[in-house]
Amino acid sequence: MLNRKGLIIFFPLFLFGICGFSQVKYEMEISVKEDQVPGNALKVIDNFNFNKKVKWYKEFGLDDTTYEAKTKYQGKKYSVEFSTEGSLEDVEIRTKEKSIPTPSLNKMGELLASRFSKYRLRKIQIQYLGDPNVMLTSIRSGKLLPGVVKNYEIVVVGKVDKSYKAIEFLFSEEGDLILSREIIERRQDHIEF
Amino acid sequence: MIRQILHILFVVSCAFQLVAQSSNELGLMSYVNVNKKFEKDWNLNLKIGNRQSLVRDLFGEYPQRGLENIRTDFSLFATQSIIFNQRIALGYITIIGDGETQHRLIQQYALVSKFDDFSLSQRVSVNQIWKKDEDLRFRLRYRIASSIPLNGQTINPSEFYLKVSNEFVNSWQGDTYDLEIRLAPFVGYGISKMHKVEIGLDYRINSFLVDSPTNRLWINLNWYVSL
Repeated sequence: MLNRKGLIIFFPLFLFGICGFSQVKYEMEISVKEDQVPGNALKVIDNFNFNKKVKWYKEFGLDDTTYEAKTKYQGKKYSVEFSTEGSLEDVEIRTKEKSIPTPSLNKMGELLASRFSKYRLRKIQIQYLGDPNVMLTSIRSGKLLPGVVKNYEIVVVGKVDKSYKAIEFLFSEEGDLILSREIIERRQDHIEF
Repeated sequence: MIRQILHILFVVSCAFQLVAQSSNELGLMSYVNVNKKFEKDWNLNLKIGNRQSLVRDLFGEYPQRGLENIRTDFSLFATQSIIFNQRIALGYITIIGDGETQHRLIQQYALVSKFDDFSLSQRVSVNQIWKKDEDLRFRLRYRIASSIPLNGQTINPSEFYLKVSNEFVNSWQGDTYDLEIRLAPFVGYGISKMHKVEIGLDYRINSFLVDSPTNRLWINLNWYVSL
């Protein structure tokens, strides 16, 4: 039977366990053709006017299913995500570390240093949320218009408790943590051995 | 994509036929590869394989046809991650064939990189090979392999993928040096999260630097189990 002293020790440890990387990201995606994509999503992509081929994928996550359009535009990789009804969920644009303002980057760095004994940033994306038309204008102009939210989605690989993990972090524009999820990577035994 | 696979297989088989003046062999190779993950990024890899000859001296005056068991391999590797996508491994292989047993010690470094549409593995290994009544043989190997999902950006259950590898094997025994070049295209299928099967060709050419080349073409079947 746990006494009060035991509860005082046990309860914070229990909370720490929950507040660690308790969310998990495991996605399965398949290529789909345009005629399998919701009409609303196709219209939004048409409005973006990408001049390169757009590849469509259907993604099955642990909690939801989405459609994703991937393409390259003005030298940058774009990923536009839609719900199964065709509503725009977000636009993600691949970027580099130097595009993140220093104060935000420093804040992120402090958090990452507290979570990992060593780490590196594997993938950085700017995430835009908001009304499709306003978002489109915002992205094209390079100015963050009212009603558009800008976050940073960063995949970090690093050492946690003597093993290496890949964790996806979502930070606000100011560098505050919104959420983190451990990525379940596919096994690559077939090309290693 | 299917057209590209057929093209690669056609080129490999043509290259094999073009060297009719050399020694040529056609055979079957099959491997079961079991990989078990442990805590703190330790892995154990157990591989059992078999080789059988179908035809020796394929383009010669008197080709020797008939299924003949050449050898059976048993290998065990322990691997550890040194950085997220980089692993070192120590392994031991015993090869039984032709009434003899060969022992090999392996030291290996592998870097596996995940890109948007494919994965790339680069592997360097050093081998020491012992066989009765023969000088110790050393090998230095470099292999590059790519895995390309044929549906989407990752290999999921019930999906096909393409795997192509190219390996250079430097071998020293006494005063003798040889170089073997290997090219292996495969088509793979993810049966489940744990199981993958592959079928393909493994073309090898060696002894071409100072002598008539030896060509071997293996029809290869692999089964990977990830525990």
